Parts: sequence; C-alpha cells; structure tokens
Amino acid sequence: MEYWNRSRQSPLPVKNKLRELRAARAWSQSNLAEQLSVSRQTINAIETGKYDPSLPLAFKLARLFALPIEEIFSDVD
Amino acid sequence: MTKEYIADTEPLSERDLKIKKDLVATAWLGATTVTYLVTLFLVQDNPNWAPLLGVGMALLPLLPGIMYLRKLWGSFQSLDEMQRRIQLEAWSFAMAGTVVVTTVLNVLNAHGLGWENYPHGLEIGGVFITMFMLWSIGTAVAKARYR
Repeated sequence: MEYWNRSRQSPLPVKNKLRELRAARAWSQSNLAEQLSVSRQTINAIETGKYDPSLPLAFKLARLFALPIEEIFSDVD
Repeated sequence: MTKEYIADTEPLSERDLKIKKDLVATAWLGATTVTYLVTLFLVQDNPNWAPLLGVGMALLPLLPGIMYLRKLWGSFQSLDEMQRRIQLEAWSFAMAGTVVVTTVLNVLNAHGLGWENYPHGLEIGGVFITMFMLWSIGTAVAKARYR
C-alpha cells in the first residue's frame, strides 16, 4: 500500500522570507528579478510559495542578501 | 556622414531587443503560413505537375518554418528556470493531447464516423494546428498555476 501511495505524497513544503527581505531593502520585484537575471513572475511565484527555486538560484539569493540559505528558506516544520 | 549616423544610434534596451526578437519570430511564422497556403493552392490547382516539382512546392513552407523554429529554440535559451518548467509542461501537454486527438479522429474515420471533408483523417496541417492550440492552452494553464 505504501508503494502505491508514494507517488501521491506531496513534496516537502518550503517557506521563505523573500518578501520581507526584499521590502527591508525597498526593492521592487522587478529590481530583485533584474539582479538575479530571472523574470518578475519567478520572484512573485517564489514569494507566494507557488514555486521553489533551484539550488543555484537559492545560492544566488543567499549571496545577494548576505544570509545563509537556511535563514531565507525553511521547511514548514 | 554614415559613420556619424551609426555612432549616434544607441544600443537597444533589453526590452526592445526582446520585442525585436519576437517580431522577427512572428514574421517567420507569418511567412511560413503564407507560403503554406500559396503552395497548397498551387499544388491543388496543378495536379499535372511533375512529381519532383510537386514535392518541392509542398516542402517549400519548411524553409521559413525552420527559420521560425530556430528563433523559437533561441528564445527558449533565454528563459529562466520557472519559464522553462512552464514550457516543459506546455509542450508535454501539447504532444500528449495531439496524440490523443489524432488517434481519436483517425479511429472515428476508420469506422466511417469521421468528417466527410477529411476522409483521410487529420492532415499534417491539422496536426500542427492542433499541437499549436494545445501548446497555447498548456502555456496558459501552467502560467496560471504559478501566478
């Protein structure tokens, strides 16, 4: 039973503090997107939790905000 | 005077460059469509053409079509990771949907339940149109999921 249910398990939910960090620096989504070479829609999707960034993008974010990745992204638990 | 004119021209902004690339791609798509329609009528109106000429005319739309596909491929290279995922989902949906639609239509035709104007099932042009429509729908649905 567990085998058949495995594919139905949802991926680990991830939270992020991107919106707060961006607001603290008075950056718009477009500003942030330009610095990361991604689209504004990608930034919006990350902030609203609809999209989880890849590892390289997560590292870029961490470098940009000068914070460890764990302080920007965390799982729900 | 020519050198001064060139030196005064500012390089295009990123947004303008993207618009220019989109316009060029659309122009090639338009050329493909026009060439396809013209050669379609020419081939239908001239059934007595030599086979080689007929085949050549029928394949002529491929030339601007390949140029359009090159531009489309190039545009995919400039997409960010989320946009690439959206396109992956859209193209997967389009391919699977086209297989389903063409299979259903051909099976209906084989059992005499098809459309009398298309006794041989969905022609290649219809397959492309179906695939493009499904890709458009797939893109819209995938984008909405990430909004």
